[in-house]
Amino acid sequence: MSEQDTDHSSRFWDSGYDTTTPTTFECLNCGATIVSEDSIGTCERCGGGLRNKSMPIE
Amino acid sequence: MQRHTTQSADAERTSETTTNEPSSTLEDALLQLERAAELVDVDPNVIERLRHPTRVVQVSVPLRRDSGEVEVLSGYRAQHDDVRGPYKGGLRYHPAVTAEECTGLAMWMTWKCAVMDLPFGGAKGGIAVDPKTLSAAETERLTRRFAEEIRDVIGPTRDVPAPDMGTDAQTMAWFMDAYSMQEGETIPGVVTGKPPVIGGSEGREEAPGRSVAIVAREAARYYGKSIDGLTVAVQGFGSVGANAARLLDEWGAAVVAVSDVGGAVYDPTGLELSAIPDHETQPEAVTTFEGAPEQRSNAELLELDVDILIPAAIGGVITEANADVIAADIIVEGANGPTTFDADAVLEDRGVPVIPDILANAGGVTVSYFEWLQDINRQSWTEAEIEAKLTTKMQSAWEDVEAVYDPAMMTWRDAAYAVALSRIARAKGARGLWP
Repeated sequence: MSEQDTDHSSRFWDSGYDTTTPTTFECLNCGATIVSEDSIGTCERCGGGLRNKSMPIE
Repeated sequence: MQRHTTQSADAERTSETTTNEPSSTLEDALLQLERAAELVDVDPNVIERLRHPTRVVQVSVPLRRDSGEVEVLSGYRAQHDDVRGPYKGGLRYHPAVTAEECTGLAMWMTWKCAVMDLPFGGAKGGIAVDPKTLSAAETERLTRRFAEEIRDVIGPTRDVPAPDMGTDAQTMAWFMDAYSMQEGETIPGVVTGKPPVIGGSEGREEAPGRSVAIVAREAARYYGKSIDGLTVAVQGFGSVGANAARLLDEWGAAVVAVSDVGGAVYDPTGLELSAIPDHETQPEAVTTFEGAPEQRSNAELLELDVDILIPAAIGGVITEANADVIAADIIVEGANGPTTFDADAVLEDRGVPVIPDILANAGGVTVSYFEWLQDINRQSWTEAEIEAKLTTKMQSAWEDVEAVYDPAMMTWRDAAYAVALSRIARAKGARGLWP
């Protein structure tokens, strides 16, 4: 979502993500690192699922 | 229950609106502890112990940049409580990492593991650095040195880190290798979130979304809503939101709206999720999807009149400013902290149930637990096994929280924290205070 849509005043822990710079994703299948300005969801190398590295997983 | 009124000096300067919003992560965690303590019959001495982390380790981590220049960065590991098992929590590389933030986050991990009945305590750590300024070689050197600097306080039976903001499976692989080399044996259980080839688990990708979907289904059942035709709006079509939406769709719900960074698509009769193109072939697939009759902004998605709203993108999207216009019957928190403290109070007054993140998106840490179990037992489970075990664990956690929940007395968030605090207190009572 755009910066305008939120005030990013989370209860705690996460800083949200910076939409002004490209996002780094990791492929949970092959381990590839993909930097993209788009909200991609699938690894272009193996088709595996991606994780946005700016978000926690636990 | 009394809401504690706190206001930072900065907030006073920048806003004329009175707010109860905590000014820091740690303050929020402490406030939640006090709220839970009012609901559970717990020895005050236990509460006093839980107000303080066991330890917060700060280390200097020298990094040789590719240019040859040496930079010294600050690293942290906050360990809140381990009465129920080894500390557990992520390692983040982010410029805003501080000892205080790590302490608050560690506390939050204690509650999250306890509400899920995982045999872990809570921890969090990281390095104050912008990961986008690091080359791959610099990230590897930094990670290996950080692993060595905190090696004395971590280990598969002491403290088990995981990926977090700015770190990934490769970071965990380097961390595990550095630890193993220094210990003289291969120890995969020292971290979770590793690549599968060195002991990482199957099922990581879908876990948080699956847990959100299971909890949404259970919440619907509690409020007498059938899954068939249940209307659902999902903000955020990343790994959590997309997996939750697809599972709910598969189970018969009508997912009427989904969004990504660019905005939302809306079909009051239910979107055909399988028709939304794969991101690989069409980036920003949600906003360019032409199979929906209507488009919405992300803010408008939050205001849709649906059975269940799942904010699954980022924190802080439901605030005091829009809590009054949320029309959903139930909110299930897919992201961490999508509802601000003040918004929580507004929704509580309005009687809108909010199923908290520490329960709903706990699939991530639960699969981390499964990975740790596989590693220390030298086993490898199939994806189907992971899926079945996760479903069992989530349903069990939901039933435990539902058993405590009393709508006249508390919110769902309070109930989840009460379950967590009860478990921790019982463990403290059984073990006693040494010496």
